[in-house]
Amino acid sequence: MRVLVVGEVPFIDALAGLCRARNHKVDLFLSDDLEDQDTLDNMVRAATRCQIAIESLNESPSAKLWLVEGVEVNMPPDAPLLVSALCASATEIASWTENPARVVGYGLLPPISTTGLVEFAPALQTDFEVVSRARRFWEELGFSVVRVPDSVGLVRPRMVCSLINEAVRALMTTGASVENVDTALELGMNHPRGPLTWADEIGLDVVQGTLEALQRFWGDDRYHPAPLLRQKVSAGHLGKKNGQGFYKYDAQDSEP
Amino acid sequence: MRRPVFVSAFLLPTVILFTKVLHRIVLNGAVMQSLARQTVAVIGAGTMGADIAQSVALGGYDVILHDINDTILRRALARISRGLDKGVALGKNNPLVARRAKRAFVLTTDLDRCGAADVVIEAVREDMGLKQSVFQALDGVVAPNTILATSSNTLSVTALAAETRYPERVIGLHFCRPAHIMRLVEVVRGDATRQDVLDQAVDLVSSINKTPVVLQDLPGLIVNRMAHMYFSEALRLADDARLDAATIDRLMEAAGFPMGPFRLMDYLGAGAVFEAAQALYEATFHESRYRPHPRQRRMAAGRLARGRDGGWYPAGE
Repeated sequence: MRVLVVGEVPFIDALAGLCRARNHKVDLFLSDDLEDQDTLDNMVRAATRCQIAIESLNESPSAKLWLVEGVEVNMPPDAPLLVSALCASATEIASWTENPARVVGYGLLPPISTTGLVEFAPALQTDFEVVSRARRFWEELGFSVVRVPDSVGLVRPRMVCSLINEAVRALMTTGASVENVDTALELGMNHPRGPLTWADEIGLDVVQGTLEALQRFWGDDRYHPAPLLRQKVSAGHLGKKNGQGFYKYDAQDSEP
Repeated sequence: MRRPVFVSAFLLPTVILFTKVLHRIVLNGAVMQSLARQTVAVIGAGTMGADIAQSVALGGYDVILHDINDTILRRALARISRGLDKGVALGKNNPLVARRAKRAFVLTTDLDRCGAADVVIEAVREDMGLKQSVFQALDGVVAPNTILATSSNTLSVTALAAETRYPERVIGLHFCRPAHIMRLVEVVRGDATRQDVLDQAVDLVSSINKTPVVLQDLPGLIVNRMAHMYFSEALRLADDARLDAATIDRLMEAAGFPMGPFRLMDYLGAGAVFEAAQALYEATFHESRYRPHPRQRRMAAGRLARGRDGGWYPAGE
């Protein structure tokens, strides 16, 4: 199958890797590279011939809208579009498209290769036949599919981004270092990785985008992104993907 | 004899008395080393107090375990003894060290006996009035340089310190449940805490093979605030998305969390989690993020009504 994968790292790299492992022909585009006209033209050409498209861009709903509109309008009529429901619900994302019936939401967090479960959330508009094709596609990639109701952030992105937000507030107020906050959660609650390390892996812009969307969707200030998270994103310290977030990363050594 | 064996007259724990004497005879050659051993008193022999006492004894300290109730003290010692045996059986504790730890205990219902301690860790019920009265009483019993620690994670160390004559020697030592297993200890610096007291507390935590993280005196510290967020977000998901507890737990456990939020609430007890949530909400002057969830009240009430049964999952699952 020809699969178009477009969005941000580390999500798209992991998804493209899984697709290639199943012998799909992958066209992979990093959303940041689409500012270049030639790359954008290539992406549009790839969209016209794809059989399924996977989108993962969650830094902000406006960036996501621009990307989803541009991809979907060029796709063949029967190709499903799998959208990442972190900074908007699948239903809202579908509303931006020409053919909302082909849009299906999903939720994943890094590390994707070992997560094992994919959250699967059809939009209110999704066609029944598209739902079963999308489900089969995820299963063939090796995921166990867990169907969850469509909403912003689904289950794990919402839970984990909320935990990260609280950890950033703790970092701001308790006088503990970045390492100490992570240690507290790893040794005090046996969390799989420290919340700030996890934030760096997900991308601080994605965490902020998800929190802002949750705040808007529920109208609840409990999701209000911690000021330090905003400052980091403003400074361009987005995490592992650009070498600095809560931790600093060397180009060679990807460990904090 | 370095120090008399303090035992409540009501208790008559002949076994302890006997082993204590035996210990002195057998380890006669090691008296010099023994003299250097520090004594830690633990006030309150509930689950938390007993588990803390077990960790401290394993670290090589002499332990004075205090409670106002003989039965609770006896139960605590039995629990500690079982815990130490289990640790040996699982290969986590050195048998010799565990045997020594069992002999390290003095049980007492008399707070005055804690005057001999170098460090006192208070682990009574999470109630400001009760903790204040314990700190006031300790203040009159211990030497001015004895470190006084509270195990609370929600009540203010600074406020407790204010009840004493020497607030600079008061700190917080928050152990995570179960205290004899979890490696983290949140060490809390009160506004008046002296740096060398904090340093000694950090050394104590390291010496019992746990990892100290030093924090400012804020309600919920790190772990309790994060735990509240873990539970309250899961409860909101269960309500707004009409998702069942098992699905949310399955997703979280697949992401590497050892227990999903609902399984963890069952493990800790719905009542205990609800009480902690209310305490955090009160201590932060009703910060909306820490608002308990209405479901918690229902669960806590339902669980009380059914004794130990109930919770999100049927008992034993």
